[in-house]
Parts: sequence; C-alpha cells; structure tokens
Amino acid sequence: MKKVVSIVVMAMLLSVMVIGCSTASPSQPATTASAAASATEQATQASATPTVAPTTASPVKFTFFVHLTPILTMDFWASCTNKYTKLHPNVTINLISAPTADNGTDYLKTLYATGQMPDLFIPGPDGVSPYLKNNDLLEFTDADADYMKNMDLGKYNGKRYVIVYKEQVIGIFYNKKIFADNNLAIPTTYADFTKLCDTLNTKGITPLAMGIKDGWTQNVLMDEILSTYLLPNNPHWAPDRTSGKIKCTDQNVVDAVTKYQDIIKNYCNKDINSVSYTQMMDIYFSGKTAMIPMGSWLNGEIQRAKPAFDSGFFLMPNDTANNVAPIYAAEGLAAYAQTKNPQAIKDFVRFFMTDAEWYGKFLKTEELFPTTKQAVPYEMSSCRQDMEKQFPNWITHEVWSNGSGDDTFPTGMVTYFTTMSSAIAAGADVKTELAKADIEWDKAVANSK
Amino acid sequence: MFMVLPVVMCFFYGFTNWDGMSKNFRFIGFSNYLELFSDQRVIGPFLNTLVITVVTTVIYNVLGILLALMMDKAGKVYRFAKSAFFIPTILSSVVVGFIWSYMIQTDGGVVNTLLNIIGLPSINLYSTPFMTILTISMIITWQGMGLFTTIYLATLSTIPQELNEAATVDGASPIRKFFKITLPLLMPGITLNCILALTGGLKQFDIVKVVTNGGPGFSTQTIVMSALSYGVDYMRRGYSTAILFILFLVIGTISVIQLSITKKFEVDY
Repeated sequence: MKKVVSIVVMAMLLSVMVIGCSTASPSQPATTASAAASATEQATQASATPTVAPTTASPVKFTFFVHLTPILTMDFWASCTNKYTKLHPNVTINLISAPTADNGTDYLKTLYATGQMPDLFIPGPDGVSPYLKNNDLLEFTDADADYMKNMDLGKYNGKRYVIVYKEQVIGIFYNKKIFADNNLAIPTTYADFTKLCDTLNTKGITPLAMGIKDGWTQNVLMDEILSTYLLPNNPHWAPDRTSGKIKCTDQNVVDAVTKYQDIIKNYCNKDINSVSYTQMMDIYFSGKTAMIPMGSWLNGEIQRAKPAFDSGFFLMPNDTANNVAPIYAAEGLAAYAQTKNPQAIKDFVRFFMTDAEWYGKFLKTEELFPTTKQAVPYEMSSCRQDMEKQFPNWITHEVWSNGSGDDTFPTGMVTYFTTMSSAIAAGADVKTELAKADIEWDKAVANSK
Repeated sequence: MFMVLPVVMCFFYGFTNWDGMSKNFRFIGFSNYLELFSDQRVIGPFLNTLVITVVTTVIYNVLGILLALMMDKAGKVYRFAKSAFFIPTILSSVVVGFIWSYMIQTDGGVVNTLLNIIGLPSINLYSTPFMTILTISMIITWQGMGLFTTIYLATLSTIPQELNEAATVDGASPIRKFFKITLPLLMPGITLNCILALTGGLKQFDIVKVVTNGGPGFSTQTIVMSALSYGVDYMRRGYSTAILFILFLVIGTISVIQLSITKKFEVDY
C-alpha cells in the first residue's frame, strides 16, 4: 500500500514539475480565427521580407495531399508550406502524395475509402462530386474566398468547395517560322482553318501534330471543337444533358465530333497510334508539323525544352469567327469536412492564393493564368505574353468536358469521352460512338444517385 | 486469411452497388452479374485477354521446348545463351513495355528502321486492334520466354540419358525419340508452364497499360484493365468486383481442366 501511495505522489509531483516547466499557461486563450487570419494577411503583405513572428498559438497540425509531376515536385510544394510554417511556427503541415505520380486521384479515393482522408487536398479530374455525395467537403464561403476573381467559379448548388487555383487555355500553337516562310495567316473561321491545312498539305508540311498513345492528348482537340461549337449556344451543356434536355447524338454534337475526326484523318501525322504526348511535342518542335493542338501549359514545356522556339497561339476557329477560349478551371484546393482545423486550413489556402511570391512561382511552372483578383506578375515567354494581351478580349467558357461545379460531368464520363475520342481518332463511327456515350451518361447519372 | 478473405469480400461486394468510397451501399442481387454478360466493355476486353492467353501459351510452350532442346548442351556459348534469354524475365514489365513501345513505333521505331535498312517497307503494328493485340502478345512472350525455357531445361535435365542411348542403339530416329521419350517425360514441365502461361495471360495488365493504355478506345483493353477502370474511374466497385470474381472462376476452372488433361499424359520411367 505504501508503495502505491509513494508512486502516486511521485507521479503527481512529476506532472506538476512538467507543467511548471512549460512556457504556455493553461489559461492562455487559443488563437482565434480572426487573429490567425490577420497574421496571415500581415505576413502576405510583408512577403518580400518575411519575419518570424513569435506566436503564442496552440499547435495545429494538418495533412496536405498534393499531386506530383516532374515540375511540381515534393520540394516545390514544400517551399510553399515551409514559407507558411515559418510565418506560423505553431502550424505543422504534413505533405503527402501518391506513391507514383500517375495515380494521385485513385490514391486519394483509397485514402478516403479507408478513413485516412487528408485535411487538404487537390481533387482529380472527377472533381469533388465523389466526396460531395457524402457531404464530406468543407465549404468556403464568399468571405473565405474574397480574393477570387470569379466568385461563382466552381460552385455546386451555390456553394464553393474548391478554391480553383489556376486557369489554362486550350487552342492551337503554331510554328511562327513556318507560317512566315509560307505567308500563312492566322485563321479566324473553320473554313479558313481547313484552307490553311490544305495549303500546308500541298506544300508537303503536315499541318498538325497528333498522338493518341497516352490516351488524353487527342481529347484536347475534341474539347476545343466541342467547346467552340456547343458552348456559345449552351454554356451549361452538362446539366442539360443530365436532365435529358439534350443528347450526345444531337446533330450539333455529331457535326462537331465529325469535324474533329476529319481534322485527324486529313491534317495530322499518320502514326497517331504510336505517338505519345512527349513525341507529339518532339514532332512539333522539330518543325515536322506547323501546328499542335494543346493547352497553355505548352508554354512552360517550350521554356524548359526549347526556349528559343518561336511559337504563336490562336483559338480553334468556329463558323462565326466569335471563337471561344476554352478554359480549364476545375483544379484547385479542397478540404475534408471532418478536419479538426478548418480555420487553419482556410488561412493556409488564403496564403496560397494571395502570397504574391509563392503564387507567382506556382503560376510560372506552366505559365498559368491566375484566378485571383490581384495581378500576379511573373516572367513569361513571348507566346504567353501575347496570350495575356488577348485574354481580356476572348469569349471564355470552361472546357466542354472539364467544367467545374454544377457543370462537372457525372463520375466516369470525363474518362469515357477521353477514351471515346481516341476511338474516333482511330476511325470509329461517330454516330455509333455518340449513341454509346448517351447510354453511358444515363448509367453514370443513375450510379451517382 | 490474406487469400480467402479478399475472395469472400470480392464475392460479397459483387452483389452490391458499392462505389468504393461511400460507407453506405445496398444489395442489388445478381444485377452486376447479369449486366457484365451483355456489357461490350467487358466482353471485348475478355476476348482480347483470351487471344493474349492463347497466343502466349502456345508460343511459350512450343518455342520454349525448341529453345530448351537447342540449349541443353554444355559449353560457354550455351551458358551465355541461357543467361541472355533469362535477362528480360528479371526486367520490370513496365520497363519492357516502354522499351518495346519505342521499338515498334511506326515512324522512326527500331523495328521499322531495321526493315527499311534491308529494303523492306515499314509495318504499322498498331494498324488494327487485332494486330496490336498480337504485337503485345509477342512482347509478353519476349519477356517471359526465359523463365519458361529455364523450366524446360530443368525438366530435360531429369530425363535419364540411358533412355535416349538405348533408343539410339535400337535405331530410333531423333524425331521418334523426341515424341516417344522426351515429350512424355517433359509433361511435368508442360503442366507447370501451361498453368503459369494461362494464369499470367488471363491476368495480363501492365504491358498492355504501357504499350497502348487499352486504346484506341477500349479496343485493346484486357479484362483486368476493364475491371480496374470500372472500379476506380467509374466508381462502380461492386460491378468491378463482380467482373473479377468471374475472372477468378474462369482461371480456376481452366486451371483444373488443364491440370486434369496434362496429368493424363504424364508418364513414369
């Protein structure tokens, strides 16, 4: 009995000593959300000369799931979180990623299914609908996201669950030297475009570089054509298809997809089945083709692989010359609703989007377009500078198959259309494939309920 | 536990509409099983898988026996040949897929460049889905041949030389000796290699994924690729597990039938 009493007394004495040695008083209040936000704002304003402010805040720890690419490495993401945690020493951010670079979306779904969902994450091409189904996403109110340029971007039923952090434009890049040597003008209508391609063919120059081996590259061209032909008359194509107002087999869709097939059949390199994205770029950079249908991220690739290459850009023309600039604006930051630190996460997201130094560095990787109100200057290639000048005059729509928020396709349909576009590129019958797509769409809608 | 439990779970989820993520799902009876028997995105990949399985099994065994007979000799050259044939087996399938996808590239690939050098025209190995599937089957056999040949070499080493010598004394021709002595005594190796080739072919995924990614469209998908795509891209995990459970039954049934057939031909000496 004496032994037990002495052990208890010793334990109590030890705990008192430990408490006495700690710097924080038990009665010290936890940092309030506004205080943290204010600290973040101050830090952001002083980003040129960051100083480590002494903090009395209680420790905060959260996980951030990122997708890795050859450019967006773990060190790159860490440069963001390190800068933030230097300014907020009480915050620890644990960066995690998929074991391999190409399966981030699948890995994220696995983490979710096994109860290991990260607090903050970058959703994949499916968007956030798989998580929204179970109401597992944190809402960012307009006040939380007052730095956004477009306050409606990515909203589901009027609520924002993703802070879209970049925009990319898709269109046609062209080799300025080939165009100049052959006195070729930038086409403004689809008729001009086919005429241009015919001229190139007669001169023995393949008009467009194309490859379907990786499974997604050809879909950029199909998306360009469908966006420019369908979205001006119906900007909310996806919800209308889901409600049954329109069909994939409608004549305007068939006509647009037929144009896509015609372009591949008549104006691209003939070995598309064995050509990957990297090889497509090689073909274009080597001057074997005059053009390549791709997104603005190609500017980043040119800067890295062939900085001296003189490339221009124009939008895929339609019949009216009121050409559409299809924008990829579905990727961003989302948070798990059951996170223990919602306010800390919102503060970090604010830092991500408003710290000019970091955000500029992030945008420069692929010469992206910002989604914030604040101008974010960074060193751009001449082609990207031209795009910057033209951007305010463009009629923009989110890319046909990659809309955000309510315009997101049902789960699986982005993959389905991407796969379908490779079948059509290889010569499959357009009407048959679109009829199958209608069946798949209805199945996907039924499965999502 | 690690084998039985997943199979039981797979069987169980095959009767549900589970999306792979939600905590809630409901039982839908045999709907998944009924759907997959009329789904072209299951039937097509299953036929592709069967073609790959049949082609690779035939080549592994016919060519494997021939190569083993040719290399079943002593000497430095034969030792080198045995090692050289085994090297692709130790490479990752993904690496093999990448190497070959560049080798068979239509424009500028090694195969077509060599053909052009000797005055032959280029061939497009991606010209049709069937041609592509055959090409993929060749790549798979190129990688696995070393293992199958080694198994045949090991089996050949168990055949007593006295039997062949006695047959030679009796005046038997080499072909007669092969069919009457070597082949019957190779049956244990054939049984093992057939099982390995059949199960490997039916589970084929990685090389196809790297070489064609299942495309164009769904034309070169294998059944495992289709199941994975349904489970992850389309979030129909219940349907995906139903496909895999049927595949499990097919592999099990074919293996049992094949074992019972080849066992009949095995002989003792």
